[in-house]
Amino acid sequence: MVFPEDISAVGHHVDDLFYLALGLTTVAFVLVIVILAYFLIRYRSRPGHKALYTHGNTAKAFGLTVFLALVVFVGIDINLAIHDHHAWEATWGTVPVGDVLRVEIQPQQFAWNIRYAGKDGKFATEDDILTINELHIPVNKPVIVALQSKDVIHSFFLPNFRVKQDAVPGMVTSLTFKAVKKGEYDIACAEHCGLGHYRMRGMLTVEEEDDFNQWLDAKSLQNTPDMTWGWTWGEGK
Amino acid sequence: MHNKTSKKSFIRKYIFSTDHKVIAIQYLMVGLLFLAGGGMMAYVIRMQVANPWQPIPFIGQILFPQTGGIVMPEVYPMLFTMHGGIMVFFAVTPILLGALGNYTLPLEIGAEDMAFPRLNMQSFWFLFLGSVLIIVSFFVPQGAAGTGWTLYTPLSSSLKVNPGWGVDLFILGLALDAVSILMGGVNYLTTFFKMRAKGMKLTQAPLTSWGVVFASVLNTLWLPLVAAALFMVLSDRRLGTAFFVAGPLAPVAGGQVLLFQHLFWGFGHPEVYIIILPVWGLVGDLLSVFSRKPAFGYKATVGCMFTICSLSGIVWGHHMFTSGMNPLVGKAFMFLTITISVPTAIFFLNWLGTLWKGSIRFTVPMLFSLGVMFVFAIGGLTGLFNAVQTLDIYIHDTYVVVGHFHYTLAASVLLGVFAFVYFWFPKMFGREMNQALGKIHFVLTFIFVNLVFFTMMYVGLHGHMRRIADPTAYEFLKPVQHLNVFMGKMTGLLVLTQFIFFFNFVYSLFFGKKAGENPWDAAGVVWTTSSPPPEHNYNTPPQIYCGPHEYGIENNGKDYVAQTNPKAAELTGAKNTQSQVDSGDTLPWLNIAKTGMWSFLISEIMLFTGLIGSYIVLRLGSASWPNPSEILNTTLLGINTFILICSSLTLVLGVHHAHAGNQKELRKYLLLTILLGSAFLGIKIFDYHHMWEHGFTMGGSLFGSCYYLLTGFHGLHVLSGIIVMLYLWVAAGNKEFCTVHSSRIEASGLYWHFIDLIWVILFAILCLL
Repeated sequence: MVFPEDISAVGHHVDDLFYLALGLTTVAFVLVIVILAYFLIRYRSRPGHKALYTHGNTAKAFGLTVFLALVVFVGIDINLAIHDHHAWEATWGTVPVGDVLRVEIQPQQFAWNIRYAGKDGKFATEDDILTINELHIPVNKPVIVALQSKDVIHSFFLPNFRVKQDAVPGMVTSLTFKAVKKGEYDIACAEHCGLGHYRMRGMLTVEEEDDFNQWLDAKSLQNTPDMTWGWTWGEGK
Repeated sequence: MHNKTSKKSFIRKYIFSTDHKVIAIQYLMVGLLFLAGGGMMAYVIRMQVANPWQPIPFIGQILFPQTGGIVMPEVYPMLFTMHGGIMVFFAVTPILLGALGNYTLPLEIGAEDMAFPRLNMQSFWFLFLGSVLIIVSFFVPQGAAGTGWTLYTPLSSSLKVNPGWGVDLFILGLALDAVSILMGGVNYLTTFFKMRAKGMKLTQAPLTSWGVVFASVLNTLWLPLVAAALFMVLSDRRLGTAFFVAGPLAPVAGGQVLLFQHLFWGFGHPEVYIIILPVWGLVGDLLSVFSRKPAFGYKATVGCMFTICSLSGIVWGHHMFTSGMNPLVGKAFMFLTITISVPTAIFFLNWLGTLWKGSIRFTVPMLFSLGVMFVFAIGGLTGLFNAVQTLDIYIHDTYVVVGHFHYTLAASVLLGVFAFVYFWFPKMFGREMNQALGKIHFVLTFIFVNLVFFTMMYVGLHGHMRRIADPTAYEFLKPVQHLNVFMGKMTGLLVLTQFIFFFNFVYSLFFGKKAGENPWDAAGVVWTTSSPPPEHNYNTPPQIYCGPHEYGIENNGKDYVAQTNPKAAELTGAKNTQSQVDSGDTLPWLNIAKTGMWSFLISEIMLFTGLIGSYIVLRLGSASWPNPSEILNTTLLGINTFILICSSLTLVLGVHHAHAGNQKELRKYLLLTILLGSAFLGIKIFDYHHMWEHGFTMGGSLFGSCYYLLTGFHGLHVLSGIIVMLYLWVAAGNKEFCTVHSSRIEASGLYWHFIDLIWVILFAILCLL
């Protein structure tokens, strides 16, 4: 088990990209090390053995080196870049349409302030539902989280979804994810934000849509409005 | 020539010495001390992560007696911050640029010393002052900086979230270190291009020298950029500005948080290569010495160093994929980054080519060089994972990154530092280090380094964030906690192993076998002088006849041809190398003083590029901006511009008289220039005072912050220009005035014209943009 459990719809693209990179680099590494080891044994200094006098500046040597470098470039670099492009299109490049859940999060030292839009579907209004460190989302429904930090930079990290996004003061950033499995998972802060950074942990609960709605209703009953933060969403957000 | 052995007092000889060899050893000692300190912090960090909030075994009681050996939550960030800062700037840089650069560069190119020996001495003492500040910072109230060595804003720049003096002292310490490094860079570049031994072409310099030269070029270009950013952080902290603070913490609107990251990584990524280039060069040379073969593809290797240097300046964005930067820009950065693998691959293949059909001697420095090859292969290849955008977003800020950059910066650099010390020890101290102990030291270090850093990458893949004091706070990290325990133990063993080195070093210093001139059968010119070399390196200036890697040739029972062998061309079968003998001076039209000045001016240009560039970014990013003509007194600024241009003219006349040897006229014009410069400053102060009274303060608006920062920095430059000119004015009264002085006056004139030019640019962009 290299990675933590993947509970997202598209996280396997990231894992596949990793295994591809691992395969390619392992081939390169093993080749190089085997050749290195062979040279070290074959050409070790011993009586009667003499070094070949060459500066390696012949056209042949240069051509071979450039050829091998190009093999690396096309075989590994370009290969990875193409696969990265496809992985990007499938993950970050896809904007969910239709039925999505929008959430605003304002991290601060050392907690996650979470805001749901409430009945009116609009943010920064009095019926917004607020929680701290407690994010519930329905399963099989795309979620868009918009982030803006209250103080220093934090980073919203969902290891089980293979995504993270920095929350920066003064600007809104966002990320999208969709869970395909129910359960309780960690939300971590990935950017050092001060002495409490290590305990800036949030809880993510993935549940059926009905359970989610019930939870949201229950929360709205005990809700106290907080108009000190929150922002309205622009077009396309 | 200086082959007299001058009698000097102990202090002039060993403390305030201008001999590059003594200075190198001073750098080495400071660097090794900080390496030990940084290593101890690494041990504490790993132990805390392995067993959170438990007393640190062995040294906890000594370091943290008030808590019974436990690391407190506020101490842990200081540990990883200062571990990074100290290792990069006060251990590795002093050893690789300070010690390796200082010791090897003049010797290996056959020079008698650095181009500017007194400047060289000053660079060491600037580093020393900087390191004093770093040590002091641990003992101020609220302790050392705890922001991460990257000093990300606003965590570092807002006093509201980060009170205390730790960050300020860290920045000031770094600033002094930066001055030291830049002075060193001026010296390395001038020495290398102007002072090579007669006959040594650029292509006959050792790869180590090339590594130091390229590292200095990168420092000259990019270090001033981060210096500008750090001064702005300092200003945000202490002068009430908000360049890098936004949101509720910001006193005024308009600051940009990510701008700091761009400036920081604009230097931070080249820094990786600054550190590694001297090691690469050294390894290239050592592989050749101990394979008894010429360095394979020498020119291609130097070319690759150049290409990597060029690319390193345009890839910084790969540190910022998760920052909220435009994804398309991210793609461009990704592509540029992975392109670096092409020159790196050629580079690596040339190393393999050097070993191919060689006659390999497994000496201790050779073992460490091979170790560098191994860990660098891992470090380089794992770089690809971090460069690929979609994958990096997952592994960013996890231990994958930490493991990767420790492979490139810690493992390969550490092994490289040891290769340097073992190889150069005989030349430095005239004694050899114990080979058997060296081999044990290598094997153990190699094993533990790999066990620690490879495991690090593995836990990172599991999502383990870096910089967290207590991984057991997270459910998803439970399955890998046992690996943290394992890394803790391996780090302890790695640290213990270094005592073998420490013992070997001290023992060999006093009781090691006496070393001859050339204990390694090496062909470089440096191995023809005594060990240790005399005060000015060579008793007679050497003449160079071939490159430094002529191994594998039968020559009077030896298998190499020394660089100073007059029959080299014949022995190596080189074709018509004697058609023109290289003078060892690549820039004959530029004297030494001017070469140094130009190299310094380039770093000054980059400093102002950082400041002016930041102003433009902040200006264009702001929704509203005041009309400058309503705030600034443009008439007064115009008059000031005129005064400064006049001062350039008077200085030109002064330089003209200096060349003619007319001291009286020279002094007159120098004085006039000083007066004009002082008038400029006087008007400036009046102007500041007037505007401040009218409410245009530094912390009042972003425009005010930019205005006072830019013009203030420029004002300081004018002031230092006046001080230099006062010195020259006194010197021009000297009876022994000669061409050396007039060339110095000309070089200083360049600086003054540069200051004037900067003012014209500032005037234009501040008043008109």
